[in-house]
Amino acid sequence: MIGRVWSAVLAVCLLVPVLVAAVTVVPGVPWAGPTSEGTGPFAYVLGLYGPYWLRSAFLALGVGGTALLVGTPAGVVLGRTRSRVLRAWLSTPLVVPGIALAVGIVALWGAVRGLLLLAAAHVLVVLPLVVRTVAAAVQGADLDALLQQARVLGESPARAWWRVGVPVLRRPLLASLLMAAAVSWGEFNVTFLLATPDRATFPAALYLAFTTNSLPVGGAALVLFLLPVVPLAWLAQAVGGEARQAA
Amino acid sequence: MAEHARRTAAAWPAVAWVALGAVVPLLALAVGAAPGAVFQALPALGRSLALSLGVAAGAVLLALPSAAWLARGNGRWRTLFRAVLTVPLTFSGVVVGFLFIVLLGRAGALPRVLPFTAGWAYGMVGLLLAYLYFEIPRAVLALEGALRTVDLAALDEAAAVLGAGRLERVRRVHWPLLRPALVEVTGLAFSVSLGSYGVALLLAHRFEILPVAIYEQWAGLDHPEVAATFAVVLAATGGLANLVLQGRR
Repeated sequence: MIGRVWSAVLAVCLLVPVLVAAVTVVPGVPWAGPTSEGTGPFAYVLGLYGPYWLRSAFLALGVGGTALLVGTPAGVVLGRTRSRVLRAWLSTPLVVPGIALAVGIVALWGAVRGLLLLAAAHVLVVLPLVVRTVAAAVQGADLDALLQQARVLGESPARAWWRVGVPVLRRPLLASLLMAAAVSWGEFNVTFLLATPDRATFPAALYLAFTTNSLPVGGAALVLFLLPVVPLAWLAQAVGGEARQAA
Repeated sequence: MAEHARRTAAAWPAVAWVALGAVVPLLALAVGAAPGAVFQALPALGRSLALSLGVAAGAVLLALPSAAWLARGNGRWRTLFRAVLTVPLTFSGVVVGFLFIVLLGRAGALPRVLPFTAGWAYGMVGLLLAYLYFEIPRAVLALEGALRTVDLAALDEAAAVLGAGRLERVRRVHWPLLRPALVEVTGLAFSVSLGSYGVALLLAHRFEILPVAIYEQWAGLDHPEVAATFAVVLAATGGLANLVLQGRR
């Protein structure tokens, strides 16, 4: 009973700030204050930050795909060997705070600074999520034993993987892809130092909108930020992922 | 040896990615760090540690009742609550900062009803609330996952049948079972708070934490070598905290 009531209280506390901030786009909301931008808030945000939005969307897709390609094999290895060294090594990007990573990356790779470096850094940040999700699935299903049984029943290694491995990993892989895309979409800690001003992502645009524009424009930027990512996170959750983010 | 190499070969691309993107850059930073600047980092580090520890402990305590409720079953209300928790998980710090400016800024929504709350967003209260806002959902979901693996109710009943009193059950059944999960999730919340700076960048005008100090040294004051040293201090703190927690689990 206590848990239920407390959860309802928490839910209200989590939702009210989002709603209060999002409704500033509606004209006449008392706490929105005046606008100075002339055009409507959405038109203003799309006109100024539209390219950032598209860039972030493409980045999220590319990062999700790449992280899956690089992280899945490593996750399978980790799930089979349960090596503590490998696990610790691949968790480094989670343990080290994002801004420290960003300073290190700029210092070492600053010469090739650009969108590709930013994408590589995003892959680095989401890699532990993919690896851990896949490893947990491999362990949970005891994939090794299943593959061996398929081999005993006469399947070739490749066919055993196709008929046993792929079905076992389908849901965790989909969840990993969705999570990785959602994290990349909102990533700020590494991005803010790494992105060059002319190649910035939408969260960097959010920072600009929140610090330099009126509240309704900030509210519109917030709504445009939430639009793709909330369904993505819900989908990831439905598929069975832990929607976790290194904010 | 060859067998081992064959079995682990598939992990090499990811291992190399982490090496080139995290391990080598951090080692390079450590080599190039200015030792004198370490002391300069200490005040901001102290504030970061205090804030992160306080927020982590607070978030875990506030999350515990909901996590226990979620872990006890399934159903419509629990699914709905989980969906609500997922929304703030996708927010980066700047988004949370903006929410609290609208809610508790100098001309915010709440001060229209309660004038004395005007400007709270920029003080200690706003900073704490904003950090709790993004730590609580994480803590609830992580604790739920951990609590699902222990059947607390059955063990509690068994201890009661065997004659254990309420206090003894808390001390000898609940606490030993919950401790690993509580330590792990507190550690998770601590790490996330320690590294986050979007919130502080927008809100903490009078309370400089280490990530913001790094950003200031890098972008504002243009002292990359000081920023590098600060980054090494922050990374070492995060790594050390992780090691301590691994040992305690």
